[in-house]
Amino acid sequence: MVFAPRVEDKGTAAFILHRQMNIESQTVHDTTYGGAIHVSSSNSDHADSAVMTIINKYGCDQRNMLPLLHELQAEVGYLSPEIMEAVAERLGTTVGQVHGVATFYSLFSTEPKGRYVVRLCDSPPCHIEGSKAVLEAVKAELGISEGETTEDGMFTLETVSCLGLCGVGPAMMVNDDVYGNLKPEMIPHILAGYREEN
Amino acid sequence: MAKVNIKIDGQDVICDAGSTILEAAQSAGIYIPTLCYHSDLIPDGVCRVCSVEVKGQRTLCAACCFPVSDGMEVMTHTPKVREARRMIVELMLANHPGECLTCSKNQKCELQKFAKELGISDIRFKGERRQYDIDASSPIIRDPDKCILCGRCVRTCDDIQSVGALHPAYRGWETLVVPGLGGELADVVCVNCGQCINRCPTGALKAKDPAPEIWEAIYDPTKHVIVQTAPAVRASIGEEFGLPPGTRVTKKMVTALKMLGFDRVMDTDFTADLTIMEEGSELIKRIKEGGVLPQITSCSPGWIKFIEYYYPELLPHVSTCKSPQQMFGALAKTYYAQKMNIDPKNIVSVSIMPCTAKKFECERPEMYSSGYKDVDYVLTTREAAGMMKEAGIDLPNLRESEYDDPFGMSTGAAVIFGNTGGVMEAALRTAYALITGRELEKVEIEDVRGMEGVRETTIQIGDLPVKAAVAHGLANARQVLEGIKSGRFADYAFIEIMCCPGGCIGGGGQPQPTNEEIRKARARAIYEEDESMTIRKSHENPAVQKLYEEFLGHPLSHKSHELLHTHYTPRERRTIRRSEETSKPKTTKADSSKKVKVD
Repeated sequence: MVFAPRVEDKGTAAFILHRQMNIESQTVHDTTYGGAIHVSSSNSDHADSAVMTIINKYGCDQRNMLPLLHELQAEVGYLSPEIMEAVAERLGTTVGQVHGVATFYSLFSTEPKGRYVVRLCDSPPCHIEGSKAVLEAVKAELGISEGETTEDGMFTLETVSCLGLCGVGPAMMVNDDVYGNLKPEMIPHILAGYREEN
Repeated sequence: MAKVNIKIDGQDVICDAGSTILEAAQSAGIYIPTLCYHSDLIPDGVCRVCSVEVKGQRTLCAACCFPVSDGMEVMTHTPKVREARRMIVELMLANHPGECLTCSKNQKCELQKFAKELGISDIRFKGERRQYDIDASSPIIRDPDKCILCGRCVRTCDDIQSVGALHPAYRGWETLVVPGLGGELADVVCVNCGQCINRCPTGALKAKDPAPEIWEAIYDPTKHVIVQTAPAVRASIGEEFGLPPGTRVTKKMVTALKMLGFDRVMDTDFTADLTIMEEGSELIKRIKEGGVLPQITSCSPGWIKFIEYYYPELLPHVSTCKSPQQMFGALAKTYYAQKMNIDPKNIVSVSIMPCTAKKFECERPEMYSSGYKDVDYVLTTREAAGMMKEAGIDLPNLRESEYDDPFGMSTGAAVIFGNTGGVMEAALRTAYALITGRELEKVEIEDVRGMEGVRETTIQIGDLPVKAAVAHGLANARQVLEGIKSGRFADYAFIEIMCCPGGCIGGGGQPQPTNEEIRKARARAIYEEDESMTIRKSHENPAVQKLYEEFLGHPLSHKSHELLHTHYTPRERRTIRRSEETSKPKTTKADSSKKVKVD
């Protein structure tokens, strides 16, 4: 054995694969980062019970991180530091790993958002179909830039990578509602509909 | 192991099946440049600087993680390879501050080295540069602008130390290696071991250097500035002056420090001997009185912070002895001050350590037992060499001189504190004598030496078989601690844990680069130093005996407890949040309600 426990596999054909497997198998050695099987540590005290119910629903398997984070975000609206810490504790990993995942995917947010999140696709197909003009229309209508939230907490505007709606670009999502074939002049009407809901 | 035959640049190479192209090339003495690869770490293959052409492969392959196969033909410097390498390094340089002259890594930077090797005389790409604030919240300073995202620090912290303080976050252009939740290093679980610094190819990570304050103290006539040097420094500081790893420069270093203007140059080894007296006595007391066993060593402040975070329930196992650095500090401003008739408030106590965690240790609130800050400043080996260079001192060519009294006298047992297994060996040499009243015939205890992650031995002391274990690197320490929790070490008496790979000789403040070969050379130098000493057991140190006679009384005395022992603080593994601003919605520019228009 050498000093780094996983380095011992160096020199075998499978060591790169092994590293990945090792990360997955941390569920078995749940103590790798001192993570407790049952979340009961002080970290979790800061997350409320609805959050803990969701967290405890999933196993300690790190492969569950994405669905777990999705469900937590749906419940709370965003992934707070407390939530990320509780998830790290549950999955037996570091908070940095959870934060890394949460900040990598654009559909996760580590900050509170407005009631309606406007996600406008700015991938090349939508760009070619005129997403930039649509973006300007949304910005003018809401009076905010990308990444910002209106003062009344109603809307958050984001540009995102491909929504998988290239056939109907420019495309946009407002929460779970999908809009395609957008033109700038359609924007005020669409957004007004959400204002009227309240 | 099965062998395969491959060709690299037309040369026949026979290598182990399953090795990488890089390993095969290295075994044949063929150089392939690497950047994100480090021999201590599992390769990630992210930087692609080691790209090579493999016959039959459509694209270039990363040599650091591409496995060899029989009959493979590898070309390491075809036009395609050279162009790709150049492009990779040029793109890195396009987003790199051109501060080489004032950078802490000047002339030691691997990116700088490649720019030269690849003959890059112009950066063709001009564009936006990432700019971030420097994080100087902890003894380890992060300068994200200089980070090239190789991930070595991340892998070091994850794989060697199992701490995971640093992690890549965000995406694409914004990708950044950040502590914990993206705040400052001081706010997250970090043990300040500095192993990330040792493996950073650029100047993105460095330690906080107190040299300016020390210069000021040296030239302040009202201050009496004393310095102590840790065991491991003597076996490595020569490297900063171009000497090969493993060159012992103890007495030249003493001369250099005297020339720098320190009023007294003394040796941490003296208090290492004292540590053995205290810690050995504590161990014997625990064995005789049924105290918590196994007892675990406490010299390594990175290790101490680690157990405070991750295994606070095991803290009763940790010896209450301070580290030799802090014992020295406490005695300097009490016993030494009295003896020299100097007001302790005018003493400036400096230590030269192979360690960045010592910078955190000397700031701990428990470390004021003299009534003053026991150790004022900690210089790493690198920073001490920096001061010498600034003063124009050419260490390799100096004359030799001796350490000053009263803390200059030490033994071979003290100097091996610098190696993994050294504290254990020193303790066993003394424990044997204290328990049996006889001396060990052969003082070298080979079982506890070496670079294995966890080593174990049983020493027969009289009719008492003493089981002992040694671990270095915190991932190995974690295994041992899990073992203690599961009862595997129930019949063990003594466990030595050092935070860094190889012990202090591989510390986060040591000269760069680091790898196992360099660490082994330094360890060898430390053992040679031990062999060269007349006295090789701590309890035989006459200066330590005198200190007990004149001042402390006996080991574990009331005074010893006051000055030489400490307590520990369980730490919450929760990110400290200094500001709640991040959890509020971001900027609001306009009131949307004013703009409502309905068709």
